[in-house]
Amino acid sequence: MISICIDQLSKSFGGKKVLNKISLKVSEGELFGLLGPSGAGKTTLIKILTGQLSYSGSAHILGKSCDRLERSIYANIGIVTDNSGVYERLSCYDNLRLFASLHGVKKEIIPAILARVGLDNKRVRAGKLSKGMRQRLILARALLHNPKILFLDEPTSGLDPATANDIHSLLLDLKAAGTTIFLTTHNMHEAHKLCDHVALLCDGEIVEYGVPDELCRKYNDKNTITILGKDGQSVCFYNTPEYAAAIADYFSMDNVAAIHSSEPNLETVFMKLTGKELDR
Amino acid sequence: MRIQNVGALFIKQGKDCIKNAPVLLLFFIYPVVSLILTQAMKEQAGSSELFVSIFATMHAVFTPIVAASSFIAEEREKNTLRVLIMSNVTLREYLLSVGGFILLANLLTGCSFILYGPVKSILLFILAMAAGSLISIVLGSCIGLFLKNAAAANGISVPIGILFAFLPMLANFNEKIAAVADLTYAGQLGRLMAGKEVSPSGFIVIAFNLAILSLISGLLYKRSLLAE
Repeated sequence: MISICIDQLSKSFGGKKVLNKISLKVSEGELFGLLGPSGAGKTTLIKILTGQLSYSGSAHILGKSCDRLERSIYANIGIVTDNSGVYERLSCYDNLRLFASLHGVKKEIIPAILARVGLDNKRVRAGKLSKGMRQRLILARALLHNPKILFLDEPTSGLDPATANDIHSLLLDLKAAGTTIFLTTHNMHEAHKLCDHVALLCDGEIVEYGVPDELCRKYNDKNTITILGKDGQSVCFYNTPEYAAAIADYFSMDNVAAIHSSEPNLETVFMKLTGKELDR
Repeated sequence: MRIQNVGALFIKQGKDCIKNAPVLLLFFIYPVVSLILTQAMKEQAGSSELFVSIFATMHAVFTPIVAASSFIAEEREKNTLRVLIMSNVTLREYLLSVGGFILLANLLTGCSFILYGPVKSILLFILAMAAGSLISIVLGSCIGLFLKNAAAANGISVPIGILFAFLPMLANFNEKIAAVADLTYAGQLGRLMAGKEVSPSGFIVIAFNLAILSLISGLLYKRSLLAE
């Protein structure tokens, strides 16, 4: 079943085209990554999908058109964006209690949700939280009503590696539980590690779409093996059968300190396709 | 309209306001200042009536304007209003809960004037306090819906609040100001609070002020609906 369906979607701001004829589909229970540099149009697409912006073309989530999202759809989606506000004078618990009431969820589940995102001190004021803790609170709020689709806009941007890893683990748990996740990021490692499918977005256009590993293999034209000898010299071989004997010689001479295969990643794929870097 | 949403937001507004010292202070400043002055000058005949009518009018006019604009603009500035709307809350439910909270808080603190001040008719005083608070909340909402920044909203709402709050007092000293004050709800409230007779045209002025401000807030409401 398709959770998100976009066809020929375009969006302009003051004559400048931010998204240009985008088409993609996200299946139910899939963790989808939209990968692109800052200003590529990722946040704009999330705003369109959550009914915050008008557009031309077609966009549907859970079968409903995004340009006239029924209010009931908000019961089925959770949103985590960089500028999602929290009530800074209220405690974490009170922040969640408000939204539990609004979603008709029992307040008894709040401690479990807070524990799930790693927020132990529920009495601390939201305004006193670090950026990572604040992001966890926003994530907890988005998960409160057990949404079918979770939209995450750069959820780990600016966070320390430990917090980012915790959030990654949580996202994988959610995916395992059947939640569809739409993730935007400019972090290629995050996208590669988490996503079932990724779309590479550049200047408002999708330049490639597919499974991360398959994309990397598809654009791996280097395909080399580098051997660092114990004598300090390094030698590079093409990873093809005709070099197998030469590589084996190095091992037989007991002269191998380290060996590396060329492993293209999504960033190199992106650069190859667009000539631009992801982390601008 | 979901009453459950309005109730949840009303409770949130109360918890937030208790921890928001500058706005919390607003609800107590005029009753306390009036109490101090009344007690300090209770020997002078007529001073209590004067202080209570002046400060009660200020309380009914100034406090709700600043509180409403501050609450709404802050909510827009910090993007929490957008989060609320994406949590199945309508802008109408939100405004009703904020307005309801300010009205209740202003009436409760405003009734303290009755405890120590000479008020000719308690019912008329409470009605005047409620009407003044309601119109001021609508005016404050207009400012909060117009500006998407709490500092800017305070920068506008404080002088407007002072202008309306001081008009009835200044009207005592100048006929031209009195003529202008008579055309505003604050001027008519000042007369009601002072226990003076208010002509039917005075009530029409109050109703007309409310109608004009409601129209403006309706237009700003539609604009905000699109923005949020």
